[in-house]
Amino acid sequence: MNLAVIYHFQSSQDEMGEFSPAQYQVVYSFSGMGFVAGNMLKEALQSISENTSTDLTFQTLDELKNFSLKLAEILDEDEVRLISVQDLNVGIDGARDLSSFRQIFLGFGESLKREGVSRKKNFLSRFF
Amino acid sequence: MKEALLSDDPVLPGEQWFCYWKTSASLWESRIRTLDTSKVHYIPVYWGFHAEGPDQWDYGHYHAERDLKRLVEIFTQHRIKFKWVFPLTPCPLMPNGGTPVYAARHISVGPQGVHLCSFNSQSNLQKMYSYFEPKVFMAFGSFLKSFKEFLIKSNINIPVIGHQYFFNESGVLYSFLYDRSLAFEQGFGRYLKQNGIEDLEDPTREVKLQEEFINEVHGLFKETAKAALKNFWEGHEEVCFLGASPKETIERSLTTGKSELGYFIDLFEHYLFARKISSTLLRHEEKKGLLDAVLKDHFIQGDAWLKDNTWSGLCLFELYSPKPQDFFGQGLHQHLSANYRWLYRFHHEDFKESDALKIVHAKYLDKTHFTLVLKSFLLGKKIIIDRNSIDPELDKRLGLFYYENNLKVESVKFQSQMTLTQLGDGKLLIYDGTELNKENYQVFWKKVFEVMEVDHLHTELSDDVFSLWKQRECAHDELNYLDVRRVSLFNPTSYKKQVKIHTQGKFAFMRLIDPQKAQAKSTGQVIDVELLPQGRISLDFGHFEEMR
Repeated sequence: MNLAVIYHFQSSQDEMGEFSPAQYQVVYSFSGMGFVAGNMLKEALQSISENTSTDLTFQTLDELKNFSLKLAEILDEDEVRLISVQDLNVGIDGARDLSSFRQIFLGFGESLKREGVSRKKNFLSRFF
Repeated sequence: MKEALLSDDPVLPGEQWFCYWKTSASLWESRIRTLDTSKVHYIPVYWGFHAEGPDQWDYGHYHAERDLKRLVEIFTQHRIKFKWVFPLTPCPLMPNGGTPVYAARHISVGPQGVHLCSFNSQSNLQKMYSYFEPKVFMAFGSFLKSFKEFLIKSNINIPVIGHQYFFNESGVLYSFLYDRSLAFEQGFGRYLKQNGIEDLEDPTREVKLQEEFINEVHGLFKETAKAALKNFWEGHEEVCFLGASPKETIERSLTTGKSELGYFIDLFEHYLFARKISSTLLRHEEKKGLLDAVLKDHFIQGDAWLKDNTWSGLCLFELYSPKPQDFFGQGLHQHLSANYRWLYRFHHEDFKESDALKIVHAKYLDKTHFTLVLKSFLLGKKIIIDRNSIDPELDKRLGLFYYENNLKVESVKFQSQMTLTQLGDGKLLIYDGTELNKENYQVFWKKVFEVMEVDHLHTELSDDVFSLWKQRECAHDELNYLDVRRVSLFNPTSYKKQVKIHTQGKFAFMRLIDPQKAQAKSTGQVIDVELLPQGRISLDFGHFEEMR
């Protein structure tokens, strides 16, 4: 199973009552090897932004995608699957056991492939 | 022994539970025959299973698997003691969380917006349906009435224990009642209307009201069950399931699964809060090895503090506050974790009559607790109180207490303004937590525990080595020790680990017990322990009063 990033898209309100517009917040990120460690998330975040905050919240979907692809690069994954919480819940609704639950992370959401990885591998695969 | 061999049996998921709905009724007897007659077993009542329709409850007329009378007869025939367990929240052991199909309308939404679901030990995905759906409460009440009538009519005088179920996600404990689905939103809307609250713009107030609403609903299910089954009601318990949170559900579905170290961290976190735990959702291969050994040997009935025939959990410190966060900023947790790991316990309601040093936050003190605390001091116990936010009325009463009992109060400024009072063995130390910070807390707590004369061995071990301390009285043939202490050390990692235990001149190393992939060497006042991966060992120490 490749890297998966589960995200929530929602607005929020701080303690002063100030509304923030809807943002993309990473809820979980994991691959077949387990949940992604905090330092890896931080590394991916800081490599795409000068912001030193560890808050995994993005204003646009493109920013979330950039972060996710950077994470895939750090973890040496060919692709990353972006799944919203809503899509995950639809998947859970239909799942009954371990096998059908795992299928959620293979079929739901949007799959992002790292540019250049597949082509490079195909070229090299002629020799190795 | 027989139960251990059947640990993959869905009917017998462990911890003396008997899930009758998991097999054909014709096979009940073959399972019951294998049960240990010396132990009490627990039959969770899967109430939704008995629904033949709205307000129609079946106890075997339509389906033999619902024939609880026959089930009881077989248990009785084989002299197996048991109690009923009644879920007061959704239960991850049961399909739909236990809710009848006709009432299961909205899957609960967990803290991260993900549907609340858990894998059971057969890798079936159990989804929790919202208890905020009005049909659920109606069905719940209807079943309770029917169940009570059934028990009376069948002359079954077996006690019922109510169970509230919890899960832990990223260090925060949540009830399985937790929900943010449409059912919750609608229920919350009704609650606001009933309480005359129309404008809710303040988000802090909204969160507070949501908490109050959830607590009320929690209490409603409990009180309804208690009232309905009062002649049979034996009380209620809170049970935390390992591996049950939405995050763990994802983690357990991965090839690597959840690590044993991860389970140990959760298990010991629950231990600090004296929570009853259950590992019945875990597959056999998830809890094999060291985890299984710890659960079986130490977490008897899910609680490692419980006394067995000889040993009881050693608790040197009891922390009393409405929330653990009340002590944040004082370095108390850090100091205890570094120097007395797994030797303390958090309490937020009950006040224990034990010999542990009690550290009480003023926020915990209402009139009742205040009286109990002072009584405990008069009975010779050691108490530390953080006076920050103390009720002025109680503060006055404290002054009166000193006067009426003719107590001498010593005042001293050491990192914090403190007062110390002694009466016989009792010591009462009061300080102000707001005066502590990361610069001074280490020195403060070290001194305070010296003053309060806390005697224990000093242990050096890394964060990923776990220890459980137990205590017993000394036997007739042992030397004149005050007590005997046993430490069991566990290394769930893939690396070799070293532990050093310093006897401090007040403890004598007595013996090694059952070293597995471990060894220990005593040199003077230090015991050096080496634990290989998956290693464990226990060591006994006699506690004597004076230095030899």
